[in-house]
Amino acid sequence: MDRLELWELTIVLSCLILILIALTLNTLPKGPVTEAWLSDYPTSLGAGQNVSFKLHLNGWSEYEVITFLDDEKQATVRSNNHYTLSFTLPNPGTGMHRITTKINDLNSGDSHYLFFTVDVL
Amino acid sequence: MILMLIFIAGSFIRLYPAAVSDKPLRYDTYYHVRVAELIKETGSIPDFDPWPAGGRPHTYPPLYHISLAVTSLLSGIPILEVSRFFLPILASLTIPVAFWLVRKFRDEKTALIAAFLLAISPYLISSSYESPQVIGLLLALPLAYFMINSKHLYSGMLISVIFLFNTFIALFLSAVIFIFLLSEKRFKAMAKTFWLPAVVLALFFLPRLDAFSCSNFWIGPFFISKSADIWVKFVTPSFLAMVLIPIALIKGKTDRYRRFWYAWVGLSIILFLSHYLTPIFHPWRQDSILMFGLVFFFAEAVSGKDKKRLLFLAVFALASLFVLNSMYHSWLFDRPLTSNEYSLINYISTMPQNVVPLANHDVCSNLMTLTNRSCLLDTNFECIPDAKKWYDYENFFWVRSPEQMRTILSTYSVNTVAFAGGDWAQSVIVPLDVNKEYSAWLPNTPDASLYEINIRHGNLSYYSERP
Repeated sequence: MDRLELWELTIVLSCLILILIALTLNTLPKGPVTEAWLSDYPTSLGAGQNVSFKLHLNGWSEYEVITFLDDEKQATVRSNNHYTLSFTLPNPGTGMHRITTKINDLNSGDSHYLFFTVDVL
Repeated sequence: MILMLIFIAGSFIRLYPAAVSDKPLRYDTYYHVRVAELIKETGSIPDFDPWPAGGRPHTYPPLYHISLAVTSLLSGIPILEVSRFFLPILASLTIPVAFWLVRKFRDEKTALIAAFLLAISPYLISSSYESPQVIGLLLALPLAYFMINSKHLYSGMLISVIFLFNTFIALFLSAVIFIFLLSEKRFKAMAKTFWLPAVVLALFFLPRLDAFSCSNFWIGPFFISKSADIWVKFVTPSFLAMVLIPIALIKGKTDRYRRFWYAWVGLSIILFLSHYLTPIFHPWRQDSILMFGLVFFFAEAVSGKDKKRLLFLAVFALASLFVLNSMYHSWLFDRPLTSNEYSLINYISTMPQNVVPLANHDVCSNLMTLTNRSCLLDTNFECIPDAKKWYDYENFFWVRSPEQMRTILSTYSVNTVAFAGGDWAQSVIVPLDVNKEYSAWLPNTPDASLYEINIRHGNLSYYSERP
């Protein structure tokens, strides 16, 4: 083999450095995935009926759930992951209302939202 | 010894990201995996792609999919796993093959420089994962050898094989050879070279002409958007410099070897600049093809005097910075979707089969491949049965007003929309009468969410509308 010249040595060393850099790089977003989903929610209701739905949570450690009817905070009843929201609608035929569940992650301080709309017949 | 080190380094840089990811790194691959799965299951090349809603004719050349299916059958490894390594391995092989080619026409030092530049080129590294155009680039090296040595029949055979892997790269290489032979006014050689690829192309496409008639001007959307994006404008000066500097440095008589790469680089840069008129030439692949040719150009330019070697070292340092930059900012180490987006896909897979969501290309492609479900969008690789609808679906994720969203959702009766974290238009949908049913979060990243669309009395309304 011919003896290595400076530029050839540079190539070799640079390759090794690149390998080391490649080994240490990791640009994938880190951290646990938290999930939340709603099920069994109504899309329309008669006036005065109770709204009930299920909120499922996965991956959360410390959190609180707050429920809103449109912009008004509501009292929520929790049984495991089943939340029931009770409210009385003022008049039938008031149209669409949005029920929003706000999940506050008490560790990060972030707030996350899920919602559905019901048409009050 | 040095070649071995360069090969190991180049292979490692390409294979490491594939090895540490549990899924293929580019969304294109998910499409190829689907087709390969179909070939593996049925034992025949499909003429219909069943995954996007309504399906569409399948016209993609079959050899890459067959290669994946056969490798999987022989090894017993699932196609999804095979697809992670297949292209990076072949991309790594370009390094010794490039050395071989340059060594045939130049000295060992020039060959080593070419192999080294090929090994570290950020463009070539980052394009080692998604498209069978990689196979075209690998086979382009023996093709160059045959062409320069006037082995026209062998050249034609290789172009035919490359065509059966990927049409675009075969057409590009054919154009390079056409220019190369035209510059020598060797018209008879053209006929000798191209008769076989023409026959293969006709045999493949003639039975599939019906498939093309399904397209209502499928390239339409490409022509609608004519302005070059910021990235193209940003890199244009450096691309031009990278072509002009080696041309200025290269000395000596232009032989057939050098003329071949002149044709390659010249055509590449013209196609790249054509992006100022239309993006149809797929510049994010085109730049890789340009860089591939420039490797041989640079090797020619810096293999001479010592001052040129210094220039080479400067170029190398710049290239290394580019490598680092693109590794940090590109998808090189990333799967096409983030973990919370894969959670979204898992959630969709639990929904009834008749739920066919509208999602962006990445989400749809992953959904269809990983869960065998249908989706409203698919890759643009093949004929698109309804280009207007397709284009509206693509634009849906970039619209600025809820009314634009409402129009698209209503026009096509979309029931479910899945937003990836990067779809910034997610907030635009909130005022509509929709249910945000599912969300998945990663720390400090936007949520991946699923929305059900409420169609009441045949209409999609605004939530804020009251009677």
